[in-house]
Amino acid sequence: MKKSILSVICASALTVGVFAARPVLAEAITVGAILPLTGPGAVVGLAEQRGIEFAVAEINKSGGIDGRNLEVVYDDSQGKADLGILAFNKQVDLDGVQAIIGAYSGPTIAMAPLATRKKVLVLNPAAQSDKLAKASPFVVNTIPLTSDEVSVIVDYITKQAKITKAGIIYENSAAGIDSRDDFTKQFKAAGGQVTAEEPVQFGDTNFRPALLKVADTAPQVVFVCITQGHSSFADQVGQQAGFPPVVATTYMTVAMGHPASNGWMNTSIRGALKPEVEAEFKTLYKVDAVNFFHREYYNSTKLLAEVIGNVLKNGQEVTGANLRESLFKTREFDGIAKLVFDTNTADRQVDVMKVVDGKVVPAEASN
Amino acid sequence: MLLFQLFVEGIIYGIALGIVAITFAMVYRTTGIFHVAHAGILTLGGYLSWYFVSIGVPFVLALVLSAGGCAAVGVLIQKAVYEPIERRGGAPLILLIASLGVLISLQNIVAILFSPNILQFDLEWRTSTIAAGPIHLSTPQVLTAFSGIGVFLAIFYFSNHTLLGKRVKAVAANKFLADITRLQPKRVYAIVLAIASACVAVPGTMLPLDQGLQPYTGILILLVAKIAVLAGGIGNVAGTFTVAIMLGVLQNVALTFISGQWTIALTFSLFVALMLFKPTGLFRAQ
Repeated sequence: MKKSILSVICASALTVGVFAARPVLAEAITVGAILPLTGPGAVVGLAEQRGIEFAVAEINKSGGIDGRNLEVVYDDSQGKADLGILAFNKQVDLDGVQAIIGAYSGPTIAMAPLATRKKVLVLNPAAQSDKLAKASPFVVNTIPLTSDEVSVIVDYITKQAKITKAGIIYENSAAGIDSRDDFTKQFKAAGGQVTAEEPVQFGDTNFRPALLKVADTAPQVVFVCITQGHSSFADQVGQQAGFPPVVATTYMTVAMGHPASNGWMNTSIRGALKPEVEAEFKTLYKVDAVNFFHREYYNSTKLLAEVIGNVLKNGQEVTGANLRESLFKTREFDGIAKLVFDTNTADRQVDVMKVVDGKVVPAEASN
Repeated sequence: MLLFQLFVEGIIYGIALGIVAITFAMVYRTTGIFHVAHAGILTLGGYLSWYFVSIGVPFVLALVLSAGGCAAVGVLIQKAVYEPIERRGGAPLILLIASLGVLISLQNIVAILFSPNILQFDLEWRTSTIAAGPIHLSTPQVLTAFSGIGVFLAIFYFSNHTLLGKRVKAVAANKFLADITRLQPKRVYAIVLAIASACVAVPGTMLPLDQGLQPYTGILILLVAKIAVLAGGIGNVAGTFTVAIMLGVLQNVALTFISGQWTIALTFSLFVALMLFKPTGLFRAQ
């Protein structure tokens, strides 16, 4: 009996010793990401997810945030507002996240009132509807919005390319409608004439009727704002003999360089990964190039980690309100580009690019 | 010229729509099941063809294999879902919900197995065009037209001039009588599902060959196709096909006077108006 009691005591002591010798792992910091992981917007959403995952791996590899790992809870919005709201409530109420990285204008606008009410920081690295500018004090846009980009392209095509007649093809979504309105207003103000405007439905890849109808009004260029189906769009433009050059914003970046895109122009938000980081990304994911969504979501995740780090350094609790306050206090961030937050929308450099002989080059250089 | 181009493109889309409609009608008329999972088979057809092409199978053979795969899935749905529900006395509404469940499952299986992204066939000639006077059509559009007409003629011949086609009609006309006269309706149902599913693989492949593949687009095509089924006279193959072409032309030509976002609304509004004045459809049901 004595022997067995002794054994139990020894075993207990050993067990305690084993656990005591183990370093206590600090609790991970969890943030949320609500992306279109299925549905027509999945091509964008999956690229965004890669950007986040790559940044998280890099952050955790270099010791995490103040010794704590960063973890991301992903939920699928399919690019839809209702699913975005469900995911937001789930992440905030069940997963307890205080910061969320969003995607697509519709879901982000829908989440905005909830972000205000629940004081959760929502970072928006890609959606561009103008409504996002003042959607919520807690919605922070890390890229310029539609009106900012449209003003750059309108300025270029009217002053440099001397364009006076333009058609519009836009997606029937928050971002598409805002782009149409911004372009119409600014192009007309610059003395231009809009010959036709034709919507396409989100998820629809048959652009041919819209292309035919707009081309029939003989515009010099066609302003296009679609957030998915770019490859199908470019294929179908290539099948229309004599279709005018396309002008667009960042949304069209993925189709720039397509065989049918010679002469196309678009605005591009300036930013680039460090060469060694870009090389690592390409090797890891076996891709030829780091696209806009990879880059921006990588950048926003790094920015969020920096803000969380600052909050922890100040001995504050990681709450949405503290994160927001810290972000605006820091104001300037150096990541893939210089981001300055004087308002809820980052001030960033926007360039005009053009496809010349299949290559995307700065438009100024092509003149 | 715009009007003429849109008119021709409308006819081509209508032909593809027509195949979806007459194959859906074939199942509905024979089994009495509102087979919405047909939209899932339409989608699956495209993805199977894409898969076979991606592993190096020539396009025509890929289409044949895809049709075979769709036929097998059609039979599986009949045997594993519809037949057990009917055997247990499931009401038509239960069958409809089950069919809807199969559709959603098929769409998601396709998204998981292949990708939720928009996929394009890796065929160089896919983006080539053919000009006939002032009309410019893509090669897939021309193929859609010819293959669609071919499938229509084959179904028309099958329905009216073959013994099996007449057996299908007999089963559709009176299930009870078919049962006691040893026409084996359950076997006929499986055959009909197989034929309809194989045939719908053709537009299921041709449309995405032109516009890209997506897992969730089949349902809207099927909804419009159902209008053709009802307005064309249920079971009337030629009537359904004709109305489908009219709908395709209407949706395209309407673009010359209304914005593209309203064409579907226009189509359904006209259908409601037609049903109010002529609920039996434009052509006689068979």
